[in-house]
Amino acid sequence: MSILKVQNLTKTFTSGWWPFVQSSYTAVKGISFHLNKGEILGLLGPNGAGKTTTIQMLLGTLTPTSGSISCFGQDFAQHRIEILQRIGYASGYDRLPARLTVAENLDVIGRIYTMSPAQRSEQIETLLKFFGVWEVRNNQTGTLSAGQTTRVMLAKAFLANPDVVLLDEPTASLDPDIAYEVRQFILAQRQQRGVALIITSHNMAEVTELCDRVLVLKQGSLIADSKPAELARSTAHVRLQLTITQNLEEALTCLRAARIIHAIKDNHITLEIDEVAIAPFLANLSAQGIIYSQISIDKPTLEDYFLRVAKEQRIL
Amino acid sequence: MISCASIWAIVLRHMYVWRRDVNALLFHVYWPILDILTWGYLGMWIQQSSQAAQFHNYEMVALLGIILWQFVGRGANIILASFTEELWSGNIVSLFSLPLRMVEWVCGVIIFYAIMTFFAILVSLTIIVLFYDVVMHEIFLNFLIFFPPLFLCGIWLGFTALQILSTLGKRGGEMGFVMIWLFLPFSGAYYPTDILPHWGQVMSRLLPMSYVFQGMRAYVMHQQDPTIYLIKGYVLSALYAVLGVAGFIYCFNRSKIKGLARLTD
Repeated sequence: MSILKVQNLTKTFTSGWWPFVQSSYTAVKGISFHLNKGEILGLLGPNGAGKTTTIQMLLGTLTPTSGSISCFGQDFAQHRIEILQRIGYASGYDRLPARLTVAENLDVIGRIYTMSPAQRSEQIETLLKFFGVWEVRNNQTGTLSAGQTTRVMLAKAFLANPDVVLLDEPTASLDPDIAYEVRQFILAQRQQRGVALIITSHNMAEVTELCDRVLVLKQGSLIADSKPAELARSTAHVRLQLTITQNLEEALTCLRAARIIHAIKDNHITLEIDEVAIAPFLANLSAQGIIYSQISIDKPTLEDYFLRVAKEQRIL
Repeated sequence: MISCASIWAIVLRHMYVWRRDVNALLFHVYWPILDILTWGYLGMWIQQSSQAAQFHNYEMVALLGIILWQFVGRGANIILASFTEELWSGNIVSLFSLPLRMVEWVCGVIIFYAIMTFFAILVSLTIIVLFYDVVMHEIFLNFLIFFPPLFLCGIWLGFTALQILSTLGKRGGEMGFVMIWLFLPFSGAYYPTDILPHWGQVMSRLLPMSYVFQGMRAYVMHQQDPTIYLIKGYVLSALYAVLGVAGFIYCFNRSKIKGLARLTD
């Protein structure tokens, strides 16, 4: 069941003041997507692709130029407050008031979500303990480390038991063990309460582990909407590593003749090759008397796909 | 429907800071005390050295002028600082992505402004009683008559300054603070506006504060009926306060076209 629908969402920024508008730039170009109940959706793309702009529009802190957003069956523009009552948000780019303590900050936020005093204190204690920041609850937020701040922001996002959570770089600046705990928490929230999440991250392994579906943005356009594994598979090239024991020079001649991208270190060759071309290539090596002792084939990952997209964006 | 819990949350959000930050608290007490001592003794000296009718009860007028200006100048500063605090702490996107209506934020800030200003006035009145030979209930009564329109003037100036901040972000901070104090010379808080040049008098006639201070001076110094001044002051200040808040909400919503995140740049 779809709980969030975005249709033809566009954001164009103009510089200068009317009537002296100097230039305009479209950060998000007519994207459409949906989010199902209990689904974890990844929002990927290189810097400047429009991820944060999209999140800001979903929160109502940035007005779209055109297009529509509906959530829980209601139009966002008309029912912003009712919808936000059921949405949690955390970003690595935002901060909480530095001079308030962690507990005070969460208490204020809980009140805005109209939580009862008992709900507030219970949730604050549970979440701060889970994220390992209960001991610093009476410290001013400005004195926390980057990792502690990120964990407090995550506690804020889940404070009011939201139905939808938007997380912009949720595990940035976290130690690997804490990042793992956070991922387990997110998966548990989805399983126990059917929470739906939209996550932006530069950690491809994390996205692959967490997300059911991934939207890929490139220069403001939606270029893919698929499962992480399918996106990885769409990268046709695999990484093949060979350890040549005999006739290394002939092997290199063979690679150059076939125009295959490769790197060499001692007698180890790493090359990128189309998956279907592996067998003929290896047969060709054998036919030319080239002997190899080790072979390993790395399947393409989401990171390979992302790198390809990022490279294309830079070229454009 | 407007949520009282959200309004109170905004009040608490600022109270928590003031409760802890003794410097900030002292800042809002120190300046009124300094003003009371400087202007109060100046008023006393003028009153004692001159037998002219226009200086009758001048000490009381000077002291009342200081207390009443707290509502306008320092009150507007409190409103401005409430928004600036969110900008500098990088909390603006985080705050307004919560289910918080702008009108709730506005109400919360106005309540906080009332609490902080009354605190400063309580301290000011105590200082006056300790240092000056004035009748307490007389100054308190005069204060009660003239403060409501000036409270509204504080709202007007505070939210008008916020229009600059919500449009320009951090870059507009200084401009906002400067704008508030720009009106002091034309308000007639410390002297009658007749002394101003013609263009200054024209400007003062547009300001609700000038009618209130004029009425206060007429009542305290010359025992004249201040009703007509008060009516003008009430009507203008109420109108300006509504326009100030509406203008701020408009500017804030317009700011979302370029995004609230850019305000913290």
